[in-house]
Amino acid sequence: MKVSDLPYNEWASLLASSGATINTEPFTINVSSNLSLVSEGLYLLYADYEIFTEHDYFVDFYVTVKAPRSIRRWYRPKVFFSYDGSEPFKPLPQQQALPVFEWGLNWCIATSAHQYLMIHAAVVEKAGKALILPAPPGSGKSTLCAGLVSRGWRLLSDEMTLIDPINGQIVPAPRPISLKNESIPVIKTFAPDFVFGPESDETHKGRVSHIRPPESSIIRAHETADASIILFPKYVAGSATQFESRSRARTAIELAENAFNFNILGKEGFGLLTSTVANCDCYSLEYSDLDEVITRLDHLICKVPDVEQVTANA
Amino acid sequence: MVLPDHKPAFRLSDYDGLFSVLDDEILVYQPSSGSIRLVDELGLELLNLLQKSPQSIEQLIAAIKTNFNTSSVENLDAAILNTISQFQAIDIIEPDV
Repeated sequence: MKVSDLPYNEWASLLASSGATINTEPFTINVSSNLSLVSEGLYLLYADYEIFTEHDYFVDFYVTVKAPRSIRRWYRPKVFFSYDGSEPFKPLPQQQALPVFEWGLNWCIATSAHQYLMIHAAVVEKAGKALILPAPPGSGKSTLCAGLVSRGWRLLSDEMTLIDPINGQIVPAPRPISLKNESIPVIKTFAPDFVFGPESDETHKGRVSHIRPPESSIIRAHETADASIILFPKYVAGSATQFESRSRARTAIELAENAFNFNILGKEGFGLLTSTVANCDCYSLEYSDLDEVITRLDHLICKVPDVEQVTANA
Repeated sequence: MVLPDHKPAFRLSDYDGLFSVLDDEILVYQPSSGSIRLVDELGLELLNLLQKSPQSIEQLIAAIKTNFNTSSVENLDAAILNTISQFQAIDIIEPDV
């Protein structure tokens, strides 16, 4: 059963009571909330996710996004995020409840899912080949990710690239794409069919809104992909689309700096990281024209040989 | 780091799995700090020499001057000493005692 198969009233009452258990592959989460901002937002953004109604599923993360019962409910209302009963963050203004849920869940994964090498990077797929987009905040990573997804690339993740140490494959973890500030109207114009969640103003990242992931990306969330291209994008207003090859070694160093758990995985993480980078073409990109850069990336990903082909030619 | 006066030979430490060669560059992983270092061409040449056998600083300098295009390296002796110090600091090499 999908979230959207439930009538909204049932969904909201589930969230307010035992919580809803949602399959956000590869993680199962149980979320509860007494805030309509959260229940409405999740009903919109997670509409196509599977919901478990039985109680025999292993839940990776029990999270709660709630308003306090004290006077804080009315005076400058705040929102609390809790994970397995603890509250790792200071309360934030209640208007930010939906981003708080997304950030909190990201934090849960980043601090717990050490069965993967986790890199702070968006990742999308086409023809079985993954394009990894690491970049600092404000670089245009999510804008490019959203643009690619709107033109048929599969969303694997907007926030973290999960690499499976067993086979080096990229493991999808598709969740809503987070857009900030100027990128919100840019993508609303570029991809008018996308479903946007509510906008939250004055967060520490500025104005934030989330995009509902395409249903096809959720349905295919169990299909891994080969790491093929690592691209460091940078949006520069008015710039021409410029690709520049990067050294694989320097790319590996930068990815390690952007990994959530590189130090935890130690020697195994180093081996996994360098073997992943060794199989990828690495570029820096400056762009301002989304249509043009997507056309170029469509061609670029098709030129990358399949892993089987590389092995056969070796 | 100060190199000892008695001019010891150096050898590679047990580095299995801590190096990775990507194209013509080499990455070294230091488990104790979790950091990755990029080894330049000179460093790579020194590691190649030490892989063959333990060598003293003087032997390394002589071999590099003979076999390596040194035109791009200013003050070669100091550059080699510096690289050896760095390698020793991150435990890639050790005195051959």
